[in-house]
Amino acid sequence: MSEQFTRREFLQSACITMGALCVSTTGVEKAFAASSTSTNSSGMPSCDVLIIGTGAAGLRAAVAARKKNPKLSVVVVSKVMPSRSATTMAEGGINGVIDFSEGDSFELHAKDTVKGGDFLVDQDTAMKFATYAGAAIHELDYLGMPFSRDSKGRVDKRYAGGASKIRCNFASDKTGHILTHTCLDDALKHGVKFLMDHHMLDISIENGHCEGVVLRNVRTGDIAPVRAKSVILATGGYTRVFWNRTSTPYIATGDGAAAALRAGLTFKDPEMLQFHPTGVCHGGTLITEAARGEGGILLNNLGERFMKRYVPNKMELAPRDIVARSIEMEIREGRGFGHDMEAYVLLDVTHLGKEKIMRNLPQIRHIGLLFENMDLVEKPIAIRPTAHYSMGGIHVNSLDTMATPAPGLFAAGEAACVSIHGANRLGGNSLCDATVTGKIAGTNAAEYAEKADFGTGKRLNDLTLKWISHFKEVTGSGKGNVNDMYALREEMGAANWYNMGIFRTESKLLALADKHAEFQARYDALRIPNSNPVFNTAFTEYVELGNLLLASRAALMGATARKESRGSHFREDYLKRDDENFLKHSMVTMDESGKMHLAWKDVVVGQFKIEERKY
Amino acid sequence: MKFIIDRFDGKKNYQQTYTVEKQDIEALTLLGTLLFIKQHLDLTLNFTASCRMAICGACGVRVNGHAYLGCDTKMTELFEEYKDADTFRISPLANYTVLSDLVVDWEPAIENLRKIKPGLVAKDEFSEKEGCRQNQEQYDRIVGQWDCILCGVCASECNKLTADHSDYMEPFVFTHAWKLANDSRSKDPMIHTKAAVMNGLWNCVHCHECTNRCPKHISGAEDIAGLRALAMRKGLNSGVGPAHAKSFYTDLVEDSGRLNEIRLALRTEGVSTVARAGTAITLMRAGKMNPLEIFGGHEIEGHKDLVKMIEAAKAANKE
Amino acid sequence: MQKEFAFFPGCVLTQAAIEAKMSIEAIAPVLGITLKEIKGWSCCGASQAQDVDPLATLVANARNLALAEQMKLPVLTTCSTCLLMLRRAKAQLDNGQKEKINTYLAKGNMNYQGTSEVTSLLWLLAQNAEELKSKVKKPLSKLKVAVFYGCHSIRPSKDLGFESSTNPTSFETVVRALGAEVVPFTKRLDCCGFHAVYPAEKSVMKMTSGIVNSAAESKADCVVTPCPLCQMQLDIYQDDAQETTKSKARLPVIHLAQLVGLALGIDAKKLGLDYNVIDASKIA
Ligand SMILES: Cc1cc2nc3c(=O)[nH]c(=O)nc-3n(C[C@H](O)[C@H](O)[C@H](O)COP(=O)(O)OP(=O)(O)OC[C@H]3O[C@@H](n4cnc5c(N)ncnc54)[C@H](O)[C@@H]3O)c2cc1C
Ligand code: SF4
Ligand code: SF4
Ligand code: FES
Repeated sequence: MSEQFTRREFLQSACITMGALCVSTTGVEKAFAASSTSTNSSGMPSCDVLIIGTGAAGLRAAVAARKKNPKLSVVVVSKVMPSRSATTMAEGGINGVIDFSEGDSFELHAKDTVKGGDFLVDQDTAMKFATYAGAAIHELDYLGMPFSRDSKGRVDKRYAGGASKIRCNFASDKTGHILTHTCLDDALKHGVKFLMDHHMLDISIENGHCEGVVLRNVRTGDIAPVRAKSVILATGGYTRVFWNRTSTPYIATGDGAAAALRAGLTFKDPEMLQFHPTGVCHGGTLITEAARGEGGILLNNLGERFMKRYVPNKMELAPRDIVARSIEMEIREGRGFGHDMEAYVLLDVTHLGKEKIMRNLPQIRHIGLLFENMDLVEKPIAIRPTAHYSMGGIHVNSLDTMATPAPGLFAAGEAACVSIHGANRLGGNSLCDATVTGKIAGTNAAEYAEKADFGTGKRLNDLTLKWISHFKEVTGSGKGNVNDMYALREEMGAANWYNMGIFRTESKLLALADKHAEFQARYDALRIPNSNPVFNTAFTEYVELGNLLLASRAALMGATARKESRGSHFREDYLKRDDENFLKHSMVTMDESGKMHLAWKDVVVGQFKIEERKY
Repeated sequence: MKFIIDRFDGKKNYQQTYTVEKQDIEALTLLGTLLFIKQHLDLTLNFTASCRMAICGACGVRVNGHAYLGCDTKMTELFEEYKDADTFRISPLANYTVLSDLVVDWEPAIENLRKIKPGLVAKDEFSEKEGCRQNQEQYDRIVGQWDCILCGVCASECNKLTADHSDYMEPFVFTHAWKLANDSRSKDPMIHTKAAVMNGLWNCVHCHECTNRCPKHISGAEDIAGLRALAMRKGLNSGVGPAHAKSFYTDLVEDSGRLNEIRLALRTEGVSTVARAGTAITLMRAGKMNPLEIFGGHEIEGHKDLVKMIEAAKAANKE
Repeated sequence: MQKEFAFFPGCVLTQAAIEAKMSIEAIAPVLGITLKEIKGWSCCGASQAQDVDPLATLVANARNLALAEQMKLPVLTTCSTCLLMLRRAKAQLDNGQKEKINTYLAKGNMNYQGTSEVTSLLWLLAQNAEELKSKVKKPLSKLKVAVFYGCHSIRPSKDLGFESSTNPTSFETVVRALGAEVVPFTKRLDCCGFHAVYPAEKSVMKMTSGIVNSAAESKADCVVTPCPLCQMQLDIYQDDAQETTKSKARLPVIHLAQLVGLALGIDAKKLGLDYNVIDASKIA
């Protein structure tokens, strides 16, 4: 009943003809057969503003678009149920200056952001971002987000790494979860319609303009074009290039960035991937910084607190990237435990005592029980750095619009790169990035849609047909083994981790290029033994793996060319930052033949002096 | 050991048995086991998961007829609960439409969330520019309900939904209404409460499955009770449900201190009600009920003191 | 086995389920248990009064528990809803509410301390199944029983917690100790619907009927339940329920204490078996 309801609403609100409405009953091909007879591209469902993604960025964009012009049809697509995003996993908090009494200011926030990003941040953007971030906190509070409170009843804040002042606003240790549900409620309140279980396969750019996307209705398997006057990509990051060594969700597969590459758009700073020092050994789930903040210590296989070797004055509380490198160094030099992807060091909190652990670190203890099958109260836990965030993303022109160079196409949140985070993101900055950029993208996409016309849909049609036959080809042969795809995915993750992880060198990166070629060949030959169109999650994973391979290749291109160490990009063969040659963004594109190209774009420098990043 | 999984391929339902070595899965979570089966035995098996750390709500499934959050349930816990059974039955959440294997349709639930008017309507003293104020106590009051991850585990077990979902909603929908109605920043709790009343608030059968299964220790049933009390306090007390609850209270406080079954029927549905009169007659015929009780039972010993106590509590907690 | 209890019958045992009271009072002496009814106990709120005033309900139950404390005895009840309401009140009182509520109890010169535990007939028998078995005079070896737990004897486990709520075994243990056969019965953990029989009548009738049909399908001779409310629902409303759903099955529904009484060789009349609405005389 209700499934029809939403679909009906969706089409009613925006549709040109009702022909393709019943994709699920008449079949996509029939819908196309009907439409090809008419010249005005009828038969394709369409809407004014189409948003892909339901993290904070997508949800804020939807409300902003609705508010900008309630007459526009706004549809939000997600490959999963709306609240299953990366946003919901964030724990620590959301930055934004709302208290100026201790000398904090928007400028200081911007300055910390620029420095944290190791000066690869566009400074004008950072300044505007900090201003919007402050306003966003009040707005969220007003929308009903239950922030933790200080003694005066104001939004409470805590310290986040790399900040010179305390400005990380939080809602217990579930800030992202609370934010997600605040935004979801607000979207429901504003009558936003969702198309869940719909997978965006590609975006179509015709004559330089975005004309819509190819969607696969995962429920039915129907692959259909959807035309839109403006499209916002809020698809999140691509950290799953390290498959099992990331704290992020299974869905963080860079679908947006990969689609942008295929459509000829620019993937900016793809080599910039952040690592968090403490993920659990099995599966990379995050153990928050609080474990070390509360007094947890790191031990190698000699039982040493090895941080004394690296940062004796800060020990375990040194910045994230440094702790992460120290741990990897111990493992590399044989002072870790276990082997290969299962190597680890120990994080010990046992000395804190049961009571303190239960009171202050219950979540972390729970994660230890779930993933390592052990109790932190009794034993140290096996940990290793884990990929945590994608600074790189779809290139957009400026924070003012979040528009990509292709008119009609916008990007927001972790999927986008306007360059707020540069080479390293500060804790607490990404939730407010998603909130702020989502809203801007929504407003501007609506504004654009008010004036724009639909494209012809011709290229979109072709792309759709291509995907339809691709599905048949990949799943219809009856060939392929159960584990082929999963084995390839694991291997890709491991190869990226070893060669493009925390330590990068020329020789490892070159070796990885060969691996990527091999993986791509294997991928192209991959066959999925499941031809059922209905909720074929194996095919979804197949598409995602293809996207991850593309993102890996782009990241590798940037990582190889960037012969310096900056932020999270650490080259053992070029230990120093090189502002002379690399104070610029890497801009990766792909041509029709699948070949990638690299160009550079200067970083915008403003009021903040470029200096050594020292804490 | 064996896992019998309820499958649905879009056309037909069937069961499929997978044989797995216990040692391969005993250190895993329930979600880990499903991933193991998918990646090693059968990639056509469909289920959903995203965060694998009990916060996104994607991975609810039923084991032996009871709903669990897959990534938050260790296999060892299941072995313990089911006394080392060597066969487990895994099924999709109940009370949802199954789309495929263990995947269910969330759209109707999202539409139900719309019904209780989600989103805070803040008091006039607050503004978008300066946000709100809320003290610790007011925050603590609602924060537990905000833990809901929309996993659907409660709804899967809800006996009322199973019987008839046309006049009811998922327990978590009521929890969402509760958290808005009880937010100190909220302008008017009745916006959400009224919507809850109109959409089945009084139809909960008190089975407490929701309370029992929620991985986040939320009690839908208690939130429903809270909303009912709020509705009654605000004068939204007409109808069979409120009258029913009220008669228990009346017997407890105003009358004898004990419940009178016949008065209950009469107070709930009115003297003219034929339906329940039939029941009363059944009871009388079976010799269970003294028809004279209708004119008032015997007051319990110490009832006056009980009334005093309750009055004192009421006086102390007047809003 | 604890031999002496402060007995909390609950409203329904004084009226509509009088036979539950008769039977529990009949089996107690045979099992060597002394039940001393709490003088002046009040309604527990029946998981309804809290919808009007949660505080008043808590006060009433604090008083009930305080009365038992004055007797220096643990509380025993057979009604599952009373069990839940009393145990929940106790948990609330023991976890921070005690002082506040005691100021109200003081108006009637009473005081809650937290010294009396609350248990149920089912749990007591399950804990002493061996002893129970040794007292059985007429093993019910020919009887096929569908055991119906009833929600509030198992859920929510945070308040009840005697055993697993998804895989409980106490009832089976007790019934087997009596020599009867427990049939597999898919709806043994379902809800009878009693608490919403007025507002959600249609649904409740469907639930009641489903349980009866499921028991009948499993070839049970009768349904047994520890909870007098479930018994009422399944027994008194059975014909109505079957009529609404156009089902044929008709099964006697008996109280746990009645079943125990039969196995102990107690006369059916003393167990009030003739008060059951669906004829249960065949079981005796
Ligand atoms: C464990 C963890 C802890 C974190 N802690 C913090 C913190 O404390 N503070 C902070 O500021 N940040 C934190 N972050 C980072 C932050 O959560 C994310 O960067 C941010 O939420 C990204 O939001 P988003 O809206 O851009 O994307 P996401 O939340 O990732 O949403 C992406 C959406 O796009 C959809 N989607 C993707 N591809 C497709 C497709 N092909 N078709 C259809 N839909 C698609 C997905 O379904 C999803 O709805 C943390 C991240 C993790 C993983
Ligand atoms: S207590 Fe009410 S809401 Fe909760 S599961 Fe039972 S019927 Fe559903
Ligand atoms: S109330 Fe609990 S069980 Fe229900 S959806 Fe929310 S988190 Fe899941
Ligand atoms: S996978 Fe997110 S809650 Fe289990």
